[in-house]
Amino acid sequence: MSVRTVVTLALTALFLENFVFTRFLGVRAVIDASRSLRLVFMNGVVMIVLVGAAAPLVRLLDEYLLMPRGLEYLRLLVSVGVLMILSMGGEELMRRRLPGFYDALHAAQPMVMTNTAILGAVLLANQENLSAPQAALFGIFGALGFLLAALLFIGVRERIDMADCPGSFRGFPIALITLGLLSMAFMGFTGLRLW
Amino acid sequence: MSLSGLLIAALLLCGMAGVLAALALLSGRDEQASARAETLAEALPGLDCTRCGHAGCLAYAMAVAEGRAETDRCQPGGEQSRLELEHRLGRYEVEPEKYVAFVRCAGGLAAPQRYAYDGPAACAAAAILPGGGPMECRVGCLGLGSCARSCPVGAIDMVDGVARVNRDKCNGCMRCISVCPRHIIEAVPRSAAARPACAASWMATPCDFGCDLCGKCVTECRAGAISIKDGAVTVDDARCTGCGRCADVCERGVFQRLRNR
Repeated sequence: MSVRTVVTLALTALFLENFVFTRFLGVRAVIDASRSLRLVFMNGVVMIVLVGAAAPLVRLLDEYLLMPRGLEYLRLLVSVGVLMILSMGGEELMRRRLPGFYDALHAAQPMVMTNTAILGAVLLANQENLSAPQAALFGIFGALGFLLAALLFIGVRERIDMADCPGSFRGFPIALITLGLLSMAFMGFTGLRLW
Repeated sequence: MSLSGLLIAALLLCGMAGVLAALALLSGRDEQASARAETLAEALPGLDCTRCGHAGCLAYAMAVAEGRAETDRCQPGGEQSRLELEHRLGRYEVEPEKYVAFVRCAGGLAAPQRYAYDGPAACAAAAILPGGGPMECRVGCLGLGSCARSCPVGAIDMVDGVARVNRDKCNGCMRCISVCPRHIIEAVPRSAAARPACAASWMATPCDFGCDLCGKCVTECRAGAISIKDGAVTVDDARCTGCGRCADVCERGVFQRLRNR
């Protein structure tokens, strides 16, 4: 895998096809997690590990088990299953071997399980016709993109909380509007042609 | 679609279901502890401040439920949280006293201001300005309502520029206490009958609604429950009969009756 491919993958996943801003995946998770910096990082770390492991696995399963036998219709189910097994298995493993990590990351688990960006990352990495290591990189950079989006958003949100916002917009509505404005800024990256 | 394809699909799905079921079985045995942790977590403030050394309130409750942690680790919750935890663990016979928030200021809009404030509507933002904010009084309610916004049950209203706690709604989570930059919100026992609504000591307030230490409440209290300590009026709840005389005689209306007899 050349450096060029890695950079291309990184730019694509981080900016060009940022899950949150251009695909609108994981919006709820971003809004939920932006309550605190800790939550954002917890979510980000869990997502990087989970997607980094699941994306190549699903890619391999797809390539060697599903595609040759015409079982593409199982792709979604298999992705969900692999994610479930990995997250539950990882949690169990952490609980037994790394209780410190478990305590720190356990609270993020419900938020991670309902994070559409994770399933989205796995499915998208599969669609792009990448090799397994490339799929892993795409997933990890995608998760980093999610982290970037959440970090950008938490900064803006701090200002919104202080601002004198009209009553009808306060809270969730203004959060969605802000996210929309941020995503418009990200639309500017579509001018980059890399693929 | 061939038969073997169907067979493989079925096997694949059954295999995944099997692995998931095994994992669920493996982790299922601490269901009881986590159910107990949830009831224990209700005794904690829910701030997830991590000062106890755990990842959050639920993680701490889990540790307590599994016997990995003491009950006195919660700093924001303090003594009340410890008692609540002990009670929920079944170690105490008596139900602990419930606390509610009380704002020690009655000034608000009528209190003298040094300058007009036109910044973000957040108390923390106003309090860092020169002179500790636009108010002349250093311990007066800034009236920007940060506590009201932090309240999860909507128990705090801003009335005439000062925060007022609705005691029927307050659930004693004490979030407002950590939010207030002036530290004038106090946890008082639900059974307390009266409190002076002024946080100033030694008459350190230019406000017409602040305590000027006239001492009338001290002499008029028949139970001898009121005294002046460190330049501030204090009420001894153990002696207080809740007659409400202090509130009647206070000329500045500082004393507030918290419950009727």
